[in-house]
Amino acid sequence: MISEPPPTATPPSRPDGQPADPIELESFYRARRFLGSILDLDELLRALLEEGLEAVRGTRGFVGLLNRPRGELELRITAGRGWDTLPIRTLPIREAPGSGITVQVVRTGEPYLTGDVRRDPHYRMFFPDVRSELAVPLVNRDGWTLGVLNIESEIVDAFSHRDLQLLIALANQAAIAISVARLRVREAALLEFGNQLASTADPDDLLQRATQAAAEILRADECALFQLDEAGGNLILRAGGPDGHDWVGRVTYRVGEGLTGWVAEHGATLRVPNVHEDPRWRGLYPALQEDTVEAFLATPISPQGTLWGVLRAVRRQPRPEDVHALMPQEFTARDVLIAETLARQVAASLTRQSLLEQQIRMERLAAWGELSARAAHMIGNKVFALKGQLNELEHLTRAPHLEARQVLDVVARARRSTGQLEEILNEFRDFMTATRLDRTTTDLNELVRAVATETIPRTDAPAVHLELDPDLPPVQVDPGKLRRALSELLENAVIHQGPRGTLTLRTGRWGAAEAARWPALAGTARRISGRPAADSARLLPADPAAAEPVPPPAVRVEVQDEGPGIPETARSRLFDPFYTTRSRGMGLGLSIVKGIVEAHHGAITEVGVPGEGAHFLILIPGG
Amino acid sequence: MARILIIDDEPEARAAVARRLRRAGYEVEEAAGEHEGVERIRSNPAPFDLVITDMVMEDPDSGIRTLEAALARDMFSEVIVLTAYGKIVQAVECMRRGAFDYVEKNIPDVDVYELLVLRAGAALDRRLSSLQALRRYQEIGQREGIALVE
Repeated sequence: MISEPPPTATPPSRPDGQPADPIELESFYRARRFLGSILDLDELLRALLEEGLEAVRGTRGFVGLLNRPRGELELRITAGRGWDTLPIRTLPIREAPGSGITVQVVRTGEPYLTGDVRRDPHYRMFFPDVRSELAVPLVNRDGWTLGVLNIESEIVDAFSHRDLQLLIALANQAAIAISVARLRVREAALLEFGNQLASTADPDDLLQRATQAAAEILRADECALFQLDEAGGNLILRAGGPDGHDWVGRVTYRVGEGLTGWVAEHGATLRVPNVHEDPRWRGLYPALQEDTVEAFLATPISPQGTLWGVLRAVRRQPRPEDVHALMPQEFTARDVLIAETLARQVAASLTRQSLLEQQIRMERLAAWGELSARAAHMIGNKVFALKGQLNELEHLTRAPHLEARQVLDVVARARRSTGQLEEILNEFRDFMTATRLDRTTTDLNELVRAVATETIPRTDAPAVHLELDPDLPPVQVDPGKLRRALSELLENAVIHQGPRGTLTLRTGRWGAAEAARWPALAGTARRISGRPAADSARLLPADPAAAEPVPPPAVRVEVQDEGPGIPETARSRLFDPFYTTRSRGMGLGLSIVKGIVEAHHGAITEVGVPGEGAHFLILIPGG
Repeated sequence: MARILIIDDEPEARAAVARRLRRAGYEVEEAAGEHEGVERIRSNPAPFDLVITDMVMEDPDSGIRTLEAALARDMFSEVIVLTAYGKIVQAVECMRRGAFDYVEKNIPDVDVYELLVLRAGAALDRRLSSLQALRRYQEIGQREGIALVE
């Protein structure tokens, strides 16, 4: 992040070397406090309000910031008695009698001083004891009104003209600091945007996030991503802002058609202050009425130099009731830079994604190759044995004296071979279908109980201890698949542990205690619960309380045995296909379990202590 | 009676081959993998006349190692390599290293067990003629005073 010193480091002085006028000097010294805290916008506004109140001896006041798209003034910071009982936190900016002095200041951009509100036509009463009111706009260097500083007093004619001057000077300093603070926020949002794209795997999700973030960072009313079709002749809407979602895939521009088509055709950024004055404008985007669009900004997305599509942002024409003229609608040169940065980041993650997909395809092919080879080998062996048994049967039945006992013995062998063949086929099928889920609302406790009863033999088996959380919430899972996974784990446990000791099955939520016990899994738990995705809906910091770590909504199922456990060296390969210590089947067992758990967007880990027993921990999102 | 060692890590397949060859009148021993097979080849008081080994057991080249062990013990031992998932390269490699034959376990419409009995018979014939030739050379050598074989 770029770090700049706070603006204005030396007291102002006149060009002729004479001391600056006292108002300017006082405002400068008061402003020093909030200029030092421009990293936090609310802290800055609080300092401004406190300095303002002290400077003019006000008793109550607030700082409001303009929310331009909503046409509202948000009361960000308040001071003085009574605010906690007043439900108002926003003021609509409308041209209407009695809408208030503050609204008047926002609309006109002019400061306002009144000595007795009871005689003022603009006054709107919040508190009955107010007499004097002083309101100054926060105007930035481009002349845009950002908000209002409002100071009140219960005394008639409490404020002088000098007070007004002092407050204006203070507000001007504050406006600069707010601009810097907002720039910082945008800068941080841009960085965060890049980080998010780098961690997003699903392409649709990536593009949807990109448009949402772009709309927020560019303060656009609508933001959309168009992708060039395979023939290269049309742009198709791939992702749109909140209102445009239903239109995905249904809005098309020919390359060269309209402003968006122009950007695709020329491969260059286009910024138009008012689309209605541009003959190229077609207004095909149905989520916005053609005549409501005013400012336009679009930039090509070209990963590795080849045009992929277009990122477009538009701002609405202000409605009559909106705060027109307070802030120009057109996109600035800085917005162009930001849009181009966003487009480059999207392009980079598209490139990364296509490389990743290629790699996954190759790996899948390789895995398929190995799987087929192994399956052919194992099935071949079983069929060979079966043919041997047939050969023997033929020989036995041709003998002059048919020995029924011998025949039955061979039939039993053939049955064993066929059973093994079926086991391999089942494993093969389970491996292939592990990721195909049929979800229903499921009580995991009930499922665990059922699997334990079915899988664990009644005799020659370890004691089973169930620790099931009675408050476990139901989850959306495929019960059949999860049973398959759990019974695999239980079978393994029984085989390795033998008939002695205890086999423990546990269910519960993933909470703070678990996060403390298995800190290495805390990140996994957050990832599977989709928590980061939920947070990222807003890129710009909104509510600091929302950043508090919340235990992610996930449930856990544990299978813990008292067998020899998993040696440290085996842990990394444990879930690999064909990794087996058993002679049965193909060695796909645990990789099937992992496949099933991961298809549920869950995670499975072995957390046992080698020598003390295996301990499998499954996390499933939900609850 | 000819003695045959069967090395295969698939118990049912191994048992089926052993039973068929016993039926054909041979004395058959079994080993459950490369490790056990090599151990038997080395430690058996007399070398086996024929070793039938699976190719892929502990690893994909297990069959090559049992082949080498058998020929190291007795260069006139015969070896038939069996495989459930054959590759030409592997077959060539086995023959180059001195295997008598390379037989795929799964050949459609062929009873590989009968084929194995035939090939085992042929292999044992070759061993017999090799040993007879060797004995003749030794006799000639003795007569002429030349030591052909230590």
